[in-house]
Amino acid sequence: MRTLMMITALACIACESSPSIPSPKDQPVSPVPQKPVPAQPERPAQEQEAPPPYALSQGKSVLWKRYAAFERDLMRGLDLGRDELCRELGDRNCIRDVHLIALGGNDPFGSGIHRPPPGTLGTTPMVVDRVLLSACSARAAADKADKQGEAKVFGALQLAGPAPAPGSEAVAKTTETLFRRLLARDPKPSEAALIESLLEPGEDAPQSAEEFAVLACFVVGSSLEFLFQ
Amino acid sequence: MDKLGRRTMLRAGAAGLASLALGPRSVMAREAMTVVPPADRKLLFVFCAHGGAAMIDGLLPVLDTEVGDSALAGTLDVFSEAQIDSVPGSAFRFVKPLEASAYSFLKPPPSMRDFVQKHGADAAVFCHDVSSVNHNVAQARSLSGAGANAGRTLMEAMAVRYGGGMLLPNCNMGTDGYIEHGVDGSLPAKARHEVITAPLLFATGTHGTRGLASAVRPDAVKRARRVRDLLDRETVFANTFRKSPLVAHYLEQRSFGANELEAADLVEKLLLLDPASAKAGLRPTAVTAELFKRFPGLAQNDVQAQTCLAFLLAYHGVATSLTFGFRSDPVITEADGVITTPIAFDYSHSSHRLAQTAMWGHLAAQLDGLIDLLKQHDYLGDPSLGKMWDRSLIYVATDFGRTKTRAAGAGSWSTGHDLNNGSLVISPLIQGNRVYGGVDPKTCLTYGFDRRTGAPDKGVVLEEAAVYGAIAHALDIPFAGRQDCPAWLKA
Repeated sequence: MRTLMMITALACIACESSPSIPSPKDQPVSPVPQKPVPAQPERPAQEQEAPPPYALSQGKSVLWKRYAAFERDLMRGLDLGRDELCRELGDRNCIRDVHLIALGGNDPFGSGIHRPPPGTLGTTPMVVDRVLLSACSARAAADKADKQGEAKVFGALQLAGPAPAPGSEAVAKTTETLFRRLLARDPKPSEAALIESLLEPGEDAPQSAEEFAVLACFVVGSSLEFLFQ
Repeated sequence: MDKLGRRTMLRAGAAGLASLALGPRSVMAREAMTVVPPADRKLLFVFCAHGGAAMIDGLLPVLDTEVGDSALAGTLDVFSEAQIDSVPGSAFRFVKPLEASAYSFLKPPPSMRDFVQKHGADAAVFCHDVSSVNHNVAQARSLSGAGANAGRTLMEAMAVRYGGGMLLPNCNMGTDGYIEHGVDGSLPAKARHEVITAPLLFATGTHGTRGLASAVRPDAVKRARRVRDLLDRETVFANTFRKSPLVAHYLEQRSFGANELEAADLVEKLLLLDPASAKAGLRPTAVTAELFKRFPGLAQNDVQAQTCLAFLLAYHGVATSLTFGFRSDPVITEADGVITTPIAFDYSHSSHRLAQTAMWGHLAAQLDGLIDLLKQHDYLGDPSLGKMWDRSLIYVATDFGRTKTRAAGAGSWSTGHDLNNGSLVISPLIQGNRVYGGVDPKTCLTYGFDRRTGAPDKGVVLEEAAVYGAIAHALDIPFAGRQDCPAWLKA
């Protein structure tokens, strides 16, 4: 009997030390302090301890916005055609031809890849950055070339001019437009302040309105909220 | 029911504790990848011979006169003496290409002579059966040894053994069953393969800005990334789903991409861009220029492009496992028209000898080119590390064999799938110029050998796990239950 109890106790200890298995459903969890994400700089301790005023998901209900949805949302958000989003070396479509699998697609006829990858690949984040920079640049260039006052996204900016002043109406309007077009919501003041922080002085600050436009678009479009749903 | 005694309970308890301690790999913490100094690394190249490369149509052809019965020979996949060639001192015979007119829509294939003459000393044929004649299942088993190593593929095991610290240790350009992941849940995430479908331009995916038509300066992009990371701490969405495995994994990869992958500056090193048409300010390296000389058709020939990218990934120390080969669709170029058969070796369903001679010829030509490169170049470009070939092993993975019979006297026929076959392995790490096992001329079926002595044995049937074990043995990849093959290791 004592042996049986010992085995049971050890088994319980082993279970506790096993990696936690995510719940099959998205279980809201009561507010708990979040662990910092390894890849990112530390937050102040006080901020880490403050739980957000909403439930955190531990589960798998979040979906990766794979290539078709990613492409469609970018086309709609930036008012660009499929082939205007990104072409590698000006030649082949980034999403459909070159980086399809890294963006979650499959290619049964071309490459004999019948099933999409289960998750993101090692190159996926770099590919996302490329597509966003390319698409945002294309939108900014098209709006800059517009002479009819019909700029689709960056109409609040004087794209041929210098970078806008922080706190200006042009920055606020551009941020609002990008959030509405890409995330379908308005920015919180703290989020708008982050976009504005792109303009803080420094050698790496945008040197033109066009560069600010591309970078602001890149920040919003490559955020987790745009890439997952 | 037996009453459980104290001894039985203790034994059961010990077993239970052992299983808790060791556990199946799938519930264990993920294993760490080994960081191996460059001098001790090895390279695994897996060439996917899609559709069933029949060894008796490649390096083990049977002469009709060896059957000993002309009527029986007329019903088997055997050859006349005029159809077969060899080189002095070689353990292998090989099948000559058919007359050019026999290839109909295809460009006549190259001969296997160069390959056998130049590299036969390092080549070995491992005779074995397989356990499936379903393409996808057989392809996957050719790489997993049908579960020999807890479901881990050879390439994954290789990445764990030698890939620690490499950027993308396991790169896979294969198709169908050759692109399947293994099923070992304890495998480190970085040992899983990076899928590559566009070898010419794959390099662009290793960098967020190089070669892009954007006026934004790289420094400004770095600032934008920092702001993006802060935004991802601020939004309700990101905070809600930060702990999701999918999102957490993506954040890890994003950090890896921005901090390690980009820092390696691989775009120009891996980009297969014709030096004559350099674009977007990107200049191919001298090594890449050399590839275009060795494989002049690589801009249109996907198999050549895969072979070259595999070489570059190994040369620059990005990967230790490289998988590539034939795909289902034929290679067609402007200069040469249709080069390979549709569905590769599986075109044998329509015309066995046409498909087998054409595809073996192209297979040999690809390997010849790759091995030449590996013999010419120092690993990482560093003479102190020696030639790449010295640390390489090429495994020609194929689905299965083809049926061995034909209608009596038929000069052209079709074949189905057959469990019986063999695998071609080329490496200076094994005793080459040797057939391990043999072929029974009366049936054209291969048979196995004693893995300890190498002696052929008609009573031995080896399967995928033995091939997996032998390759793992040669590459010094340890695992429980490995079927060693001392016979083929070099002393």
